[in-house]
Amino acid sequence: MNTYIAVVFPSGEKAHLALRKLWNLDEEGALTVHGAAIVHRDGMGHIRVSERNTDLGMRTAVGVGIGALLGLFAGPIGAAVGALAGGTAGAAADAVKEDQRENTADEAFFTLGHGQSAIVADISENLTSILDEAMQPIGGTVYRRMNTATTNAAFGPYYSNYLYPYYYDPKYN
Amino acid sequence: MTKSQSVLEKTRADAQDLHKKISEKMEKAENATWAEVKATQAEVNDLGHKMKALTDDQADAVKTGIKAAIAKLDAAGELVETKTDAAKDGVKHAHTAMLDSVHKATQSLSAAVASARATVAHAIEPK
Repeated sequence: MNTYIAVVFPSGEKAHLALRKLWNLDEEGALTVHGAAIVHRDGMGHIRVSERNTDLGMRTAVGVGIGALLGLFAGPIGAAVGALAGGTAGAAADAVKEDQRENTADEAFFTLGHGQSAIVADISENLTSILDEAMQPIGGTVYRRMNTATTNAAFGPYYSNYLYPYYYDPKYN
Repeated sequence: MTKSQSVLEKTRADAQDLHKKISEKMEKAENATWAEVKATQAEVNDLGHKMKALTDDQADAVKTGIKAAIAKLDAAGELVETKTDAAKDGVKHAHTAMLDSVHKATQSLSAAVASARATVAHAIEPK
């Protein structure tokens, strides 16, 4: 089963720990990670991707990607808002949050509160319990959305530039 | 793990390492030279050769992705220095093309790995 996941944590440190655990599960063959990244929402509500130090010049693509990814998790209307928001990840996320409030029938899948961090990833898993049981002790709440032609179309080409295809040490700033 | 699965896992790890390496080179692209680009292109081409060797063993669902990634690797590996570009721009363009092609390679290889792991899991699950 191919899924987009979001695992929400109360802090960046726990998300970092969980990112390492996620890739450990990949190494063990318990699931396969196609790409993953950590996003953080600060106290002011701005959302940032915790990047590697070496990824200069990729920020515009990352900005569009995070907007689209959050939109994807929020539903089809949110996806359009996210993709149109360009490089302003925080604004895109806020727009998506507003959209969630106005479209309660379009159940929000993933909301990142102020001060929270999340792993967003594209994975293949045969048993959902493996990830759930690995994230629960770290304090993570796991959300899933099936990876389908529709969700891929909503997210567009950006995720391929945005999720890291290996474990990385995230930078916080 | 079968021999073909371990070759697949190893090739995926090689692709991930090469992705990291190119990302790090892009950080210091200001000082990079075409000689360095050519050295990296040799590794990109080597990855393409490894992927060609394992394509036939893959399920049809992932074969298409692997072939598309190989085509991108081939294209990035054949880029040559153009005298019309400023040296810095040409090196940056080459690195970007290589990173993009290796990114596609890691994605197609991880899809192949997931497919192989699912086959094994299905074979050993209780009936």
